[in-house]
Amino acid sequence: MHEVLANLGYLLDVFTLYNMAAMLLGICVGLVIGAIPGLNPPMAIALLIPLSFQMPPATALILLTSVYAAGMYGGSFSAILLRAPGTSASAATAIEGWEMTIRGKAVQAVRVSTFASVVGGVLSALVLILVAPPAAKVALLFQPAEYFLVGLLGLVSIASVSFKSLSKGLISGFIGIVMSTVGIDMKSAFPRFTFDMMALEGGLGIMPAIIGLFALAQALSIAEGDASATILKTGETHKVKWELWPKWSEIVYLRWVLIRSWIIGIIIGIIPAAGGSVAQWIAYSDAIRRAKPGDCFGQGEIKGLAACEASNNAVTGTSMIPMFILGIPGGISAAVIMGALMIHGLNPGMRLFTESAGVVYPVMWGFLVANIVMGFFSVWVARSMAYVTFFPRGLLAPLIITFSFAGQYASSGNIYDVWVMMFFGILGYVMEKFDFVPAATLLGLILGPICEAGFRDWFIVSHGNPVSYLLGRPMADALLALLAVMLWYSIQHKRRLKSRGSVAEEPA
Amino acid sequence: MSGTHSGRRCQLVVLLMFLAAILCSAITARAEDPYPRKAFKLMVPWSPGGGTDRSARAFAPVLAKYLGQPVGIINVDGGGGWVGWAQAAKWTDPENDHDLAYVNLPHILSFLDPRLKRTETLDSFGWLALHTVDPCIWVIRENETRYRDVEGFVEYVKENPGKVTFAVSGVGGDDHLGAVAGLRALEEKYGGPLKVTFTYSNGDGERIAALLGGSADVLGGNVAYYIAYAMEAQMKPICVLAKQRVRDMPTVPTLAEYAGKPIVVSAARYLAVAKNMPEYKRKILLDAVQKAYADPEYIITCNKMGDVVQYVTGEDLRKQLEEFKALAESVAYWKDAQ
Repeated sequence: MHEVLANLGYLLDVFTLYNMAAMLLGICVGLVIGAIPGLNPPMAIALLIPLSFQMPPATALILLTSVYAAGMYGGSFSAILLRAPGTSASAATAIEGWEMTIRGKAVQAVRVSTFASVVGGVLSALVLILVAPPAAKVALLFQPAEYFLVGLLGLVSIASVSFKSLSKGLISGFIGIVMSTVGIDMKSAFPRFTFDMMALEGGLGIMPAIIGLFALAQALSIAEGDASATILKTGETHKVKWELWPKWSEIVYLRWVLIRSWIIGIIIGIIPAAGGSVAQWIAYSDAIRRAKPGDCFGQGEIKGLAACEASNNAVTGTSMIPMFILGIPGGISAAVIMGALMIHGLNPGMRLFTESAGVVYPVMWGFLVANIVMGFFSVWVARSMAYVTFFPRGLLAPLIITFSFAGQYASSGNIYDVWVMMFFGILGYVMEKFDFVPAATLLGLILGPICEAGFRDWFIVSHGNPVSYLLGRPMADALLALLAVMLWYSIQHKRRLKSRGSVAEEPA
Repeated sequence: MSGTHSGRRCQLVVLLMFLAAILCSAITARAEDPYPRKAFKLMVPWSPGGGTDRSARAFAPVLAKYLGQPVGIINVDGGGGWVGWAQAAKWTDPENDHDLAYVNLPHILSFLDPRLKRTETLDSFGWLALHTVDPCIWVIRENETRYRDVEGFVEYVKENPGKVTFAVSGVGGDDHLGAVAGLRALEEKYGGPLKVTFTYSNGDGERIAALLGGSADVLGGNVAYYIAYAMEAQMKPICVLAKQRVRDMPTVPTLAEYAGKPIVVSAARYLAVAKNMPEYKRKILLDAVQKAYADPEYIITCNKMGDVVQYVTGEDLRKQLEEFKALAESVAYWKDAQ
């Protein structure tokens, strides 16, 4: 206990003028970068590293981790208000968030998203501060076989997010998995589906897929309507309310889905290479599986939104645990932050917590405080952001298209990825028209490589005995059991819903 | 009549003056031809945040100081570096005389793989100078009991062919080339065959997780990343693939000490410019680069980042490239798949 109290002392170190200024700068940069599709937190962190050279290590790292937290959250603004997720970790948010927006509930969506994100971030930071060393050991339990199973867990959520037609959802997911194999295969150096095109050698990026499938496709469908009309469904305009502070009744209503999603995020954060873009789908599909009659998932269900937003921010703190202790970054952002850590002469490892405690603990507390400051800051900007819902379609569509192109070019600096983004945009638009599921395609793209690498390495490291190897690993067994429960539960749930007559396939 | 005559003379004078003016300006331009005359672009063929990008961002302001012009970083990501390199290979002077690019060895050597049908070769680039070099290193778990050094490792692999899992970055990467070449050299010395099972994963983080978690037994990486862990006593480096021992790890032997012949494999970053850049411009650039490498503040930054900067150019640089190429051709990983 006295350790915890000693720890609290470091909290005071956060509140220096310099540290708080760095934090505010980080939050502003993060929110803006996160909200613009194409610009993502790792990029922003990388660009700020040279600026941080001149700062003391703790201040520099508070700046960078604040960008990380705010960037993860900022992505949900554009996801909710425009269905144009700013980062891969807010793609699931776009589904329910957008449905809420067109029903005039944008402010409620932003409100719940802020609450879920802020508390998720704070809880995650607390786990980071209090139990980092033992939690780091959990990261090592995830080896190829476990990665394969985690990937499968994510892919199973395709079934949940296929609201209209399961078979079309599965086809969409399959398209994504196939597209994830494009590029030079790292394990054999064989160029797969590159058709001798140099630009395809590196594979189809996640970024162009997100911008295309969501932002550009969205702009195309917005452009269909009356140029002077808003995106709100007719007759719902009067419903827009401006209460930005979370309501107690809402929190009580959402408590279980929030708690489950925070836990899912915190655990998945510890697993290296999974991160927010996997956690949100698992949390979201978990919420759908537990749906009660009357819940309207896929049509603006607040529980779904809360699940996504709670889980993706709960990832942020714990994804730094394996980084600080083992030097294993939990995601791209964490990897870039680790680079900065080393530039400032701090090497990951247990010694960091003893010898550089004066730097590491203020950074962790700073990260926690940044999450709270971010919450207040967001409430303040959310109001003006929500006016987007009153923009005429004739203005919104060109704006999103402009941002899609500029953002994509800015993120990769090559024109080929802009073409890839356009391809995904048209694909997403057509898919949406025919009730296919662009989200499933994205999920296939993200999880395909995790599953594939895990599967192939599992067979290699088991030296010819994959099954007995798998059964001999407790974590793998646990994941297998979880997978079985999830599948069984999904089937039962659908059956139950059907027998009650409230079929999931109700018209949109 | 005389009016037209004087008019014509007038025209002639104007024309002559005009010509003289053009000639004059051309001569002055020829004499001065200021270089550098504008900001430089330093192309990183990867997205922001990667290793090359970080080194570039630390280096750019120092280079700018000695060039007297700003140096901006341009990230051109895609195709495993090739989207950027294909552009750099097409650069010509004077259009691109303010463009510099990072070229990573041995990554660029993937053009040797006939399956990729690349038209570029080493001669497609105007090689300026080496920037950073990071030798390969082999690492085991600190609590590994089956072997504690390279000799023990060799013995164990001989007795248990295929049982040892060797984690490297990707096929054809420096870790993979180093592992294959190193094992071959050890086979020559100790007899073989030395058969290991390779696993491939791009990030150092994933490979460390595999090593510490037990699904990999030996890890191939680069010195800069692992110096921190050598002191952390979670992992134990068993050898470096360098000419001599690394200053910060004096107890770690080189592979050459076991194999009896030099096994030098590293990840190196070179600066390249337009192929046909005239010598006087190259000299201005090289002077600035050399001064930048020696900048005291930059040296401190490099020490923190783990960047080992070496000034190598001209014939020596060419020799290094040929050595890299010979290494890749001797491993010829693309033949396995055919």
